[in-house]
Amino acid sequence: MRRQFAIGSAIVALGVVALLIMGVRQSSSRHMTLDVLLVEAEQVTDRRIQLGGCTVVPGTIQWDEYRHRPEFQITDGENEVAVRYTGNAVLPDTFQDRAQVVIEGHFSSVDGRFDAEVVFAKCPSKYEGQNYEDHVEALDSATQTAEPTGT
Amino acid sequence: MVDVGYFALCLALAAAGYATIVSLLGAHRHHEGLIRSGENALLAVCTLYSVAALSLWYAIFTKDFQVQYVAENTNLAMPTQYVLASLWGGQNGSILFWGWVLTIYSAAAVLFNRHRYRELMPYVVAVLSATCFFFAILNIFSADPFTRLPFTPADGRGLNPILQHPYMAIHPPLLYAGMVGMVVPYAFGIAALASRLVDNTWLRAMRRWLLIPWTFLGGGLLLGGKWAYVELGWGGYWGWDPVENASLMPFLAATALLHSIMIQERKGMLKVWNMLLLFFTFGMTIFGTFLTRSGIVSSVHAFAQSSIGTYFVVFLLLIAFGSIILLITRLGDLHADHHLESFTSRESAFLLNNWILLALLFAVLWGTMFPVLSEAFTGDKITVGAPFFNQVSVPMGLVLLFLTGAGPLFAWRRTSTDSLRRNFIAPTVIAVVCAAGFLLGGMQDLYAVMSLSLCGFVVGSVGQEFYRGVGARRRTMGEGAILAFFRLLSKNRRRYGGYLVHLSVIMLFVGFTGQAFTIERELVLERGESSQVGNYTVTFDALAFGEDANKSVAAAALTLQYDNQFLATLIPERHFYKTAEQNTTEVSIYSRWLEDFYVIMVGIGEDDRSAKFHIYINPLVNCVWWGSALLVLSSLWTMWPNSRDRRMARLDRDAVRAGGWQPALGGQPT
Repeated sequence: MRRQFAIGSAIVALGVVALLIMGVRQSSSRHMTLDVLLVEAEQVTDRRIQLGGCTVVPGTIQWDEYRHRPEFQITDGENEVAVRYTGNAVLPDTFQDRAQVVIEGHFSSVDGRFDAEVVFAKCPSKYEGQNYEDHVEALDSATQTAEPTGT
Repeated sequence: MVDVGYFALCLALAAAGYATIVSLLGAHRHHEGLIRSGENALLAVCTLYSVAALSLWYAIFTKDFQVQYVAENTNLAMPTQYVLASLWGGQNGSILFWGWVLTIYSAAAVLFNRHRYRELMPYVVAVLSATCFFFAILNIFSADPFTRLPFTPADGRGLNPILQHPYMAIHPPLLYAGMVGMVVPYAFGIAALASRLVDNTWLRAMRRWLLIPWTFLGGGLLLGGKWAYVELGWGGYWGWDPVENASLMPFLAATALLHSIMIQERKGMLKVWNMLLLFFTFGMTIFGTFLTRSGIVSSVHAFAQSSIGTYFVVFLLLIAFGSIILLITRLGDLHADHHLESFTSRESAFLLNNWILLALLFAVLWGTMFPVLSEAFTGDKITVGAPFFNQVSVPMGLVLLFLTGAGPLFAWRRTSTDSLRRNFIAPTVIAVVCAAGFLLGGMQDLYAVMSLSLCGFVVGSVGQEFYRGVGARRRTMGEGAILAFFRLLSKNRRRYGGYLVHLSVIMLFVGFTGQAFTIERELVLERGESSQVGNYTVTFDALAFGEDANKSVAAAALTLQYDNQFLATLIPERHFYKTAEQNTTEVSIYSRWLEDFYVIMVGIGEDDRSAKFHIYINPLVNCVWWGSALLVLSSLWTMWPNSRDRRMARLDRDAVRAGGWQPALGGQPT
């Protein structure tokens, strides 16, 4: 019984591992930052790329006629690249100037443009760590009167 | 007022530390006074945490924008019901809320067991208060919601409009009640090992405390899906986002545990396995929280890094090492009373159930952590998207479906060939008939055919169980069919309530299978123009614009017809929120029994004469929502104490009171 049980478990385990390997191979995308992407552009032309750490350059969002598939520029602070959204979904409402974005798709070094099938824009909930000083500044400038308080 | 809150947290920290130490001392010396003191201290922790939470709520309600958390998460224009929910809207408040739910569970565990399980409770209290201690540390040193700004802003930033939805307000509390609640069964497991009371007593003690968070977690997950469906506008309800996965994984582990403890209760097998699975379930809740808040995996929910992750890693390592070391020292106590004798046994089916659930968990974990792992080992960060999870989970889901139906058809120890035949015939016939029907009807998606046929298999199996049970009651008790049915359900809640839960899961799976048949269409329509989508005709009638203090709205009126019969007027909208400078898409859904007609307005043409729409026809999606409601209800039914439970509890209490403190008394009289 012990041996049968061990064989049975091994079969299940192997089945699962096979499933995982096939799954990864078929639907994986490589994450890159913009600086690396620009350097390795030619090697990764055929691969699905996920590009993170960039924000939308303000004023560069150009919507199509029905505000569905925009073209825009993103930057990581140093480099800039043009992006065209090719997906079907309506872009999240969080997609706007200066939004942090993660895009997935293919990069063409010939056109110098990223065809993004998926665009994630930063979620509005505030679960990320906040820098206190930046915050105070942001709040300060966003509000009109500041009543000095003594403690 | 917030200083009161902060002070209360510090006191709670002290009380929790005291409770841990005193409970362990009391357990070691069998000193009733110390143990009671520990329990009372844990109750005090709950009171103090409540004070802290209420004081933050007070600051929120009085719009005290000098408090940084209030300024960041609320504003003057916010509707009242969301003001309430903003307690858990931001990081620091949500950690406080998490801790509060934890202390409430702890207090409940103490109060419900005031006169029971006296051997176990000191250790239970110690574990619970140690966990409260950890969360108090988080709130005091890393995620302090009470910090003040050096000035008072005139208005706050407010909660993002996309989160101002009733479902989104309830979803976090439900999830927290699910995730946090797993600490109680974990505490009982540790208590069993520590006190060496590893017979079925601790299983009886913890079973409901496992079922309750399981129900909350399931409900929370499904409610999150419902919210995503009606609010986010991409036509689906589950995206395999890391944060979604983070709460799914403990749910899978807890489901596995719920089943395998039945084996331990009946057969005294899987004792070590269950302990490990219990540790794992609790560990996954902490790990899930860590995933969500640390930022190590990028997700639509969180992008930035935070130091709070380190605290969770440390806590997780402490739990993992501590639990396993304790388990190793008690391995000698955990002998199996029986062994697996045959593959065609119920034990075997349950074991396979565990395997598949954990395999599914592992697949989800693998996919979620792949970016982190691939970067660590190869330097390249590779992500896997929804297609991976869908591809991998479908086969496993199918096996699970089969097991759900097959489990009750097997006997304990070994099922004879005769029994196998007798039990399997009816459900198998139903499955085959379903499959034939679907295939002949032209259904081409093989996975869908298998899924729906297996659902038929399970319905047949459960139906057979009820049929036989009702038949038995009629013969032996002379009850009519309907009375017998209800008596069956109320007297054997665990078994027949469990079958109801399985039926709800079937309904969910039917709903999930519907996704294979979704029809998606992009339409550009001029005003007055119609278009055909399947058997539906949609006509773009009018466009309207409006405005109020909060937002401006663009709405389209569409007439929906099916086979030229008028169904409804659909009004998809775009909202533009002025203060937040945010757009939202308001989906318009027409729900029918068998499918949903789901419309989003993507955009409006420049001349306001035409608009672009995105349409989804989602078959069977309402089965998901009905299944969710049924799941929660049948789970509540299953866990509700019946008259026998109440009698036993009263006997317990009287025994303990009459006999005074009896360290040897483990729980229920046998």
